[in-house]
Amino acid sequence: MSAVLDENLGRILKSALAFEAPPLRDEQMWQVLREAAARRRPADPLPLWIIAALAAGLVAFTLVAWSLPHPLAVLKIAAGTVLLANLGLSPLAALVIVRNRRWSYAN
Amino acid sequence: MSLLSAEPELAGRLAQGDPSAWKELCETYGRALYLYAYHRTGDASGAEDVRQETLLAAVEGIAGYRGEAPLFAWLCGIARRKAADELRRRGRQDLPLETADQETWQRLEREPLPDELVERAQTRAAVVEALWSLPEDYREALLGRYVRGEGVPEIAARLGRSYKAAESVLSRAREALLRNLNKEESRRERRSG
Repeated sequence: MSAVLDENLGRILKSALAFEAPPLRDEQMWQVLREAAARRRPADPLPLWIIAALAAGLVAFTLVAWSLPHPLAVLKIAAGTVLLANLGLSPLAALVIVRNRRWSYAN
Repeated sequence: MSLLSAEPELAGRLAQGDPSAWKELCETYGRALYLYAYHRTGDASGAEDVRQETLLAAVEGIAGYRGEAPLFAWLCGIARRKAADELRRRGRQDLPLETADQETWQRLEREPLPDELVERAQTRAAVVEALWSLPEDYREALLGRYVRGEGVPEIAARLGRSYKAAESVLSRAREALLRNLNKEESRRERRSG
């Protein structure tokens, strides 16, 4: 077919479209729509309350760690690191969750 | 907005199972899918079955569509497999029977279907795939020029463009179609050999 030339286009197109193709019948269309609707799920809202609760827990943990006496400085450092890491990674994690959900709707 | 530039948005709605998006898909590509399936199976009932199975499989598999190819090309990939299954079920090879002319029918009495006829039917299917994988205005320009025999002024009026712009669309459409056909030929060569 690499030898398909411009002047042959008319002949090729006409032979490929030589007959009238019927549209989908109503029942066929409905079957497709039913299948699609059966797979449709309402978009779950991002569980913001879970994120808020986790964030509140982390803040509380950090505050408690900071209020502890000096020998537990290691705990302060750990709490601060976890809090900062959480703040940095949360938007990324939320994005991944949302994208995965979007692609899994049809499965 | 052309059909292809609207595809990512349509694909997103399809993936969410939006019935109006599926209705749009059926209305836009239903007939073309039938044509494709007809050339692949060689008869009307096979084409009906393959079209329907393809659309149902598309509902199931839309999550796997990544937008790397036009939607219609993706549908044709599914239809190709469904048509092969259909022909296998019937216990025959890729035989485009209804598309055969009288002489071919007489030859069929004496000898197996020539590869040439199979090749021709596959080429027609490839043409349908290539044509419906083009943006809508390209397709309209080509159908106007080569199937309806319209001149550039009629095509310009149909597309709502100037004479010059219609000429340019027609020229780019021709190039794009040939590119698509050559791509399909390469794919077929890779599959067969």
